Amino acid sequence: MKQKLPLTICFIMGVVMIIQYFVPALNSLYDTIRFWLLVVSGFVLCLGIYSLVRVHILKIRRKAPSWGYSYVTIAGLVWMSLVGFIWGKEEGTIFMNTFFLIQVPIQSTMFSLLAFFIASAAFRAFRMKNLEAGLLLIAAIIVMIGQVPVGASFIPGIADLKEWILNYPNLAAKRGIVIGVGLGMLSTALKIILGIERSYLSGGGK
Amino acid sequence: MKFFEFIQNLDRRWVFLLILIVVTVPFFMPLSLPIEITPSVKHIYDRVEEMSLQNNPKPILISADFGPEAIPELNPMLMALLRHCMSKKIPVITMTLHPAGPGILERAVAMVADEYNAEKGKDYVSLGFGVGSIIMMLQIGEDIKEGFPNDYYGNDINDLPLMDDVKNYDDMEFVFCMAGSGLYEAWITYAKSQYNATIATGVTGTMATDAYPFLQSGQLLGLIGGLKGAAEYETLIDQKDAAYRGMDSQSASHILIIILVILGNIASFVLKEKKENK
Repeated sequence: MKQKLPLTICFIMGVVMIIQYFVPALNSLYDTIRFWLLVVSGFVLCLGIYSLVRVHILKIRRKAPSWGYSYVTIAGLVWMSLVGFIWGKEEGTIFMNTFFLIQVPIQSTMFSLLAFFIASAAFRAFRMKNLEAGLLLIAAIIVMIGQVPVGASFIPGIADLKEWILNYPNLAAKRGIVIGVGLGMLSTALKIILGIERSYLSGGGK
Repeated sequence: MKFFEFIQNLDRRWVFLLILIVVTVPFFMPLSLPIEITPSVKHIYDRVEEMSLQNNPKPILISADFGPEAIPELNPMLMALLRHCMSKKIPVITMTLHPAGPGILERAVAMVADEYNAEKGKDYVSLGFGVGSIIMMLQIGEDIKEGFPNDYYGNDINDLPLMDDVKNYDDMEFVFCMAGSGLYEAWITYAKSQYNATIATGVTGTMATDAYPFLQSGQLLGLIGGLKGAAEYETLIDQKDAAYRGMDSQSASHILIIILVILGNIASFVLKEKKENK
């Protein structure tokens, strides 16, 4: 029953949503379901918070590796919720100051580190070992130079060449990938509706 | 030969140090090189300019769907677009589908609104965070007021004059989605395909190449890619700011990486030849 009920709901909803797309008379049904989804999305957020707290409390209880950081996570969640509810979320409030003085620098720093790692990785990995690698290397160098003002200012035509690479070879490859992904999504959706793909159920469908 | 061996075995900490130098030095010694404008950015600029000639232009919906990690690249383009719109008295509706987005968005909107004395509720509306990403995109297609009964500050949406004539995408000139992820594709799939909304996007540099197929197919009105795109927009509106300043650092770091890659390849080739000759 635990398996059959969600599979049946999924099948019925999947089929109904496909049919309503082609039958204008079922538009009101679509409106109702869309509104339900909006409400469900709100509850999903609550579920996310519950799950986060549960995972970290369990981690603390079990003294799992790095369990001390779980205190920081829970304290952060409680702090932001409290200051947001009590003093509001306008500019200049404790909520906003905590966000801009702690969260923004932390996340920006994490992302900025990418520049260093990409530079190091490019230096080590970009080797012209064969023709394909050579073509990739040349294309990368043209795009990198053409992308920045120093290239366009000192090498005439490099910006146009960069645009050509992005608009033709890159586009052809990307379009192939996009079509492939689209077909993959379609087949996965059908597999889910028909109950063949069950990994979204608890326990990986076992 | 020792030089090539040194290059081949160069410790990555030296690479990190060089990157740090080339990124920071241009801030103190700016080159101020001219920025070449790409058509994908110009399309967005032109559309806003066309709107400024209309008597009662429809609002633009700006969805700033990014968090703090994408601020360096996306915030300058958000500021530039807001400045362009507010300087031309084009109404703007802002929202975000990223949980960490409201703070970033509100600060940018408040700053630009202050520069142009734009009035909250009349010249611009801040809707804040929209729960449910795709669901919200679909909801806006039907009735935005059901998705956002209140604005970010808790005001009833029906009390805001700008929202009087706004119900769904039909009442908006275009949607400008800014994302550090592939969320712009969802805007195309759900807002463009299902409701025929006009979509333009601003994405981080790493995501920009992914958006080209949608640009060529006409599903995107325009594309502002990374810091370079933001610098182009700043140049177009003649308000050079953070993105333009950052372009010198980007130029220097790109050149450094290219030099390192070329040196690495030469070293690899020379040492391989030497090994084979032995």
